[in-house]
Amino acid sequence: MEIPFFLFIATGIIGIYMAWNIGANDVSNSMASAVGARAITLKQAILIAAVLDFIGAVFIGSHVTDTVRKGIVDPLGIADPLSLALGTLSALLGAGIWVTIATWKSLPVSTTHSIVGALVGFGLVSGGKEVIKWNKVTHIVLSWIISPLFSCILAILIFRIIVVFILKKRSREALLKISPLLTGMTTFIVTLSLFLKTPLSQKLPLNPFTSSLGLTLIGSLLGFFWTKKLIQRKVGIEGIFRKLQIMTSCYVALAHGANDVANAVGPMATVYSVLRSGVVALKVTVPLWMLAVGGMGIALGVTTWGYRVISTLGSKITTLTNTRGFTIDFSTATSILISSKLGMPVSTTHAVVGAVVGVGLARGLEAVDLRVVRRILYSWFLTLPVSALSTILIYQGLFPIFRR
Amino acid sequence: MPRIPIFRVLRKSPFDGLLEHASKVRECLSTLKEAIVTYSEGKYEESQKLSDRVVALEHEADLIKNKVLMSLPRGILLPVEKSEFIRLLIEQDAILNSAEDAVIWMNMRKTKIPKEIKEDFLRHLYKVLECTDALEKVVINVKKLVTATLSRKLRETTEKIIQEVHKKEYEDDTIEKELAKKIFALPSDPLSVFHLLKLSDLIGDIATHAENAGDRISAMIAR
Repeated sequence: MEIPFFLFIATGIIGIYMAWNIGANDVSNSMASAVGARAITLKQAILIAAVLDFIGAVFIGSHVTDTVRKGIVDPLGIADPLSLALGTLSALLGAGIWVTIATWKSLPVSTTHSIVGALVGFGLVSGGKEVIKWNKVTHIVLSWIISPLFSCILAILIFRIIVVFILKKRSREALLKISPLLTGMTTFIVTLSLFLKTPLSQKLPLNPFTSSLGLTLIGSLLGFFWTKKLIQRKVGIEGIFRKLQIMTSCYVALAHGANDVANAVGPMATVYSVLRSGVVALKVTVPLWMLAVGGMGIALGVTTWGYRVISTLGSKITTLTNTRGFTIDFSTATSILISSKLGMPVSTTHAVVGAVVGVGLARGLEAVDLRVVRRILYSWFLTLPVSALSTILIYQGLFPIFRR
Repeated sequence: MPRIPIFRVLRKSPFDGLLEHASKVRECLSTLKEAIVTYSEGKYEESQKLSDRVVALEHEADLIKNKVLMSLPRGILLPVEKSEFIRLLIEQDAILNSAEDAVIWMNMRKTKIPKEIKEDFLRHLYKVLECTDALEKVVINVKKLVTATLSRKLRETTEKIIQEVHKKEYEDDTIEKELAKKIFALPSDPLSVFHLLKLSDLIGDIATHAENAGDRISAMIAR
């Protein structure tokens, strides 16, 4: 069966639109705490996020992807290449529409969640409920509840530790003792995540654990001497956390690009592969140029939306202290690392929100709006059925046009 | 409006509003001081103008207070009990209500402040202002304490300043008592005595509210 080339063009355009969305919406999530804590300015945040997101997407982003992301749908159950191409296009479009509606209604939904929902819809309409791996879907949905919860609990714990061991003492000695631990832990989480979460370890002939531990040791030592120097220069505790926080934010941006680029590029790659080979495979390769396109899309989203963030927020941002910002970043990064190690596609947005609520519950924030958290929860539950349903409708609209 | 969940979860701190209100209190009270001093010097017209300014500033502070209260609907999580915070804000606002009452009462009548009591009268006023100055330091510390450092040392320092507020309020009570005795001993007409007594009383209320606000903070930061 002939698959028209413009189907790929259409997928490409919607894919870039999704990449734009990923960049536009998530930049504030990965960089918000650093900006809120005034560790970096909003402009610096946008620059860092755009550059690191792009680098993450192109150089660390996966070059191989499941034909249908995360194996939610068994592609062999569909078999017909046209159905697969059309379904992938519909899923991308369905997710894109939901993300757009959510953006317009300022509901914080996750692009990852939308894609998962859309793919479930696509599986349902193209192959029936047998082709969907329901245990996989349950697993994913469960992770959406567990990962923010985990990030919340972690934030409470880390914040309490910082309060008890550092903030209450306020002595230089205590700080000097704790700082290697903190820099070491940060280095460990950052490097281990980069090694495990991203396919970097497959590209480098290194054992992720030993190399992370090695880097951690170096990080701890550097942290010790660096803290000593900062103390000599009379930099306060918050100042030291400020530096740590820049590091964790950069990591979040890098990992974000590396992970989320597949949400937009994965479907593009699937259609591209079907178009070229004419058969349905379990895995498809993602060409570098496609990752670059995805990375560009994300970077574009970061920069274009970044200006809106500047103009809308202005002075409305509540100030976060660096200890809080660090706690949020650290909990988020750790929660994402552990979840993805367990094969759960989690959303950065929700891990961040979990951590913010955690610090709030630990009484570390000046004012947390729990009503917004409730709104986030609503949109969370809506995402899956809505994006699934819109995908089904789009698919049924498109299918008769192509299959004549 | 872009969707920026984390920025929306983090609300503008009501403690900033509390500090804004506190600085309005300072501005209003320093105007009150000038208004009463000029009155005691017999410059009634100038005093009236300054008093009008006190009333206007009290209104401005009221607006700040309302803005902060409106920013604390259900579902907002604060690092301290929300009810404690609100009580503190209302008590801090009550300082200005007393200041307003005092200047309005003062301008009801042009009573010459006799030489015999003038010194005590001004001492009373200055002591009240010392008390509110100390309170402002406490409020500035409370923001730091609750939202940033949580250090034990700062909490102890803050407790000490609260004790100072108490001490000054107590000293002021003594001054006020002495002043009342002297007013009764004046050879003035009963109307003047009544006017001066109540004025002294209203000025004293300012310190009482400052003391109450200090107590609120004590409860807020207690461990």
